[in-house]
Amino acid sequence: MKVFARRWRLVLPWLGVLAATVLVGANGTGKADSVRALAEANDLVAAGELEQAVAVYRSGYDPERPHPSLTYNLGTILHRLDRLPEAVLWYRRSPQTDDPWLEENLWLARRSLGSQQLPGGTLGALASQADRIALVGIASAWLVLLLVSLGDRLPRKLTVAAGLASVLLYGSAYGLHRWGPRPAVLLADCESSGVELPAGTEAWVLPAGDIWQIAGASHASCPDESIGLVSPR
Amino acid sequence: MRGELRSLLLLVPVPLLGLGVGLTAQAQPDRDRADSPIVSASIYPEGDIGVDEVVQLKIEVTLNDDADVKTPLMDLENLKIVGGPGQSNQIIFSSGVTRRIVSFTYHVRPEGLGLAVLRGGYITIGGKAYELPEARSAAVEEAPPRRSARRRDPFGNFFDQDPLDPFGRRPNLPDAEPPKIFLEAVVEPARPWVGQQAIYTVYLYTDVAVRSVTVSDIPEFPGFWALPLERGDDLDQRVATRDGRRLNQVKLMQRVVFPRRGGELEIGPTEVIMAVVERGRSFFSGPGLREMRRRSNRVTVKVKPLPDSAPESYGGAVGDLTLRADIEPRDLSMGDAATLTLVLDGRGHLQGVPAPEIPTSDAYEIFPPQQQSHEEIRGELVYGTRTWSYVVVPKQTGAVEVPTVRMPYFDPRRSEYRIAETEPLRLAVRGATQATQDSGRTIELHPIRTSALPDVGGSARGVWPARRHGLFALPIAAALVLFLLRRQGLAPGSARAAQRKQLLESLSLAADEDKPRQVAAGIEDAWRDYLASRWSVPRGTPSNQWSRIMTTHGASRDAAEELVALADDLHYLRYAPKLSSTEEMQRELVERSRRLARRLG
Repeated sequence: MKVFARRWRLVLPWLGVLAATVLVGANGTGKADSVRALAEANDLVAAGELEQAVAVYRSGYDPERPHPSLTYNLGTILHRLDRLPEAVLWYRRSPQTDDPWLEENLWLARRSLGSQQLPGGTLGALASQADRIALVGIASAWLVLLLVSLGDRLPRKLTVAAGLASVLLYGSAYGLHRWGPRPAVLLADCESSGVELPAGTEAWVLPAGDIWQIAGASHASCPDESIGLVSPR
Repeated sequence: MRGELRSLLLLVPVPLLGLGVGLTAQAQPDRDRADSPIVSASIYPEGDIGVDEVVQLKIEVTLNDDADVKTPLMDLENLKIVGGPGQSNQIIFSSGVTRRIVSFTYHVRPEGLGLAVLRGGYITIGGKAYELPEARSAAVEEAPPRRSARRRDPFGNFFDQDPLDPFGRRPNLPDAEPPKIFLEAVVEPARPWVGQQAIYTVYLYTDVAVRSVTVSDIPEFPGFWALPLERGDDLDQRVATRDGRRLNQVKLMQRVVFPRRGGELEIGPTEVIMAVVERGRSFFSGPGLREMRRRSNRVTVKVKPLPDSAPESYGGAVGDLTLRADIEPRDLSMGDAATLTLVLDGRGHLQGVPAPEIPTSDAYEIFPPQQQSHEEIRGELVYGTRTWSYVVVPKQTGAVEVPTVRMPYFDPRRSEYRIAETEPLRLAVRGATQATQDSGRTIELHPIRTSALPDVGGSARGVWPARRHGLFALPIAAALVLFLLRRQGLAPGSARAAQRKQLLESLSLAADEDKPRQVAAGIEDAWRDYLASRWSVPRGTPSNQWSRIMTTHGASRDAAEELVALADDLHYLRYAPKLSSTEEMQRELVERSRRLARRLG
């Protein structure tokens, strides 16, 4: 009985932390709106009201929890309307990247545009992995909690090292997200410093005041209205 | 015109006129034992018939259920049908058995002298065909005397009279009112607009029984478009008063007519041949049949021309109309064609209405339409449908709109021109950007998803959801708190907690000792064990040295000094002369020790 009680004293704090985490993460408020907008816009498409459908799809878009069908359908309708740069942007905003229809439509749009995909350099590569880095940091944090729970049975230095590593990883990932280059699609032609970037170009951009600096294209920058961020803040 | 009369025969069955004579008294076979239908045929009157005489041919079916009985198909020899069939349905209840008798009565006339025979034929009952039995008679030059005929009637000979003027020569009936039978034709409304529906109706007025009526001459309808109005089985029959006499009024024939021009339009007379039942003039004489002809009056219709205020694109449509449009497919590739269908429908005659004008556009090319019309009569109203099908070829990609199409028409009920219009239609035209060849296969733009994909529940790439901070911060914060608690010995399972616990347990054991000296020794030993493990104070260290060593290892100076004071009190209790009562002091020392244990962690 004593052993059982002792185990529970160890497990209960973990359960508490986990429950708190779930509560913090629960934010499904936008989902119903997305589904409603999706159904309404699909009806408009069936009636041939494509422009109105685009507006309704947009109204149902939740940047934090984008609905895969909504982003796909919006991209497809823009594609039908020959608004290809926007179509590419919305295809890329879909959270479901392994959808074969989406892949083929995106391929078709890119091919029709003949546009280029600019590499983002080392920072761009790191930024593209920011989500994974953050996940490693989060996993390390939980490992630290485990080590601390085990008490004095493990060297204290190991616990401290794991704690520092988790903070470093998570902080780096967030820093890349917050201040690093971001994926974007050029919605209009952009010419800067002798560099011509056609609409539909996919690039990594860095905020620079009211304009966006294009990573990988030296000194090129584009105005805010010609940039469509794949993941708006 | 005469040629089509046969197809326009309008025959009024006797039973529906409600004036039939009891001619159904036929010799019936014994049906009581019959489970299957019994079919019989007979010619009445029996025996020889006159070559010009109209007689009855009756097919009768007796059955025990409500099976559907179709009109018989007959093989006649030397007999011509001049009227019928009149159909009757009788239900008979007898000895607890219900039977139904369905009879078809035709009026026939021999075509020449000699044998007049119903050779056979069949009748369909409940989906099954049954053969008709034979019935025969002989046609002779002169009909034999009938009970119903007036030949033996001492008061007159009605059949010898002129059939077209049966009432002009009746010298033997000075006291009898001559029978009244005439036709009346009317057009309603009397003053229609050009193109408005009107109805031409011929009424029969009679005060005698009429066995059958055949429309023998239908007028031309010059200046009209005319359409027969089919009648159901139910006759529109009522009693009307004409010239102070109560007469049966029967609606004999109707035509829907649409005036094609304004002004006065005349419709000629309609002629009918009737088989009229003559009543016997005395108690002894029975009924007989006579053929009569009657003509209706001519009708002049004053047609109002349409007002001059017609819209520019007015094409002549008159009625209560709506215009609908549809286009298919709505989603097509550049170079493909769609079909635009315009449907004008409503109450009115729409044949000949020209196609509406489709607004031209740079966005599409439209070709001349195919057109078709359809008329349908519901009740006494004609509903027309005119359909135009256009081929539309988009000339640009993206959204292409076919704007509103308008068609003016004249509404006779409101006496004004109105506009029927469609909703705009939109096409989605895929350009070359939406289909391409790759490695020999065509890749086309996939359609939208009409059923939602399952929400994967993930976040957008690059989006930093708030819960991610929580996932990171909460374990880190929990680890930090746990770490600090361990340092304070508050966390369960830590070494300091175990040391403190050991101290408290030892203090409890010491408190349970009997003698004051043993209590003091026990408390002091407990502290020495604790100080050795927690603060590295050797067990033999004098108590006055504890404070220095403890503070060296990070203990609170106040707590350490208090511990030294406690040790002095323990020495007093242990070595002092015997006191009368030390219980209070023992309890106080144990409590002080517990408080200190918590302070020192």
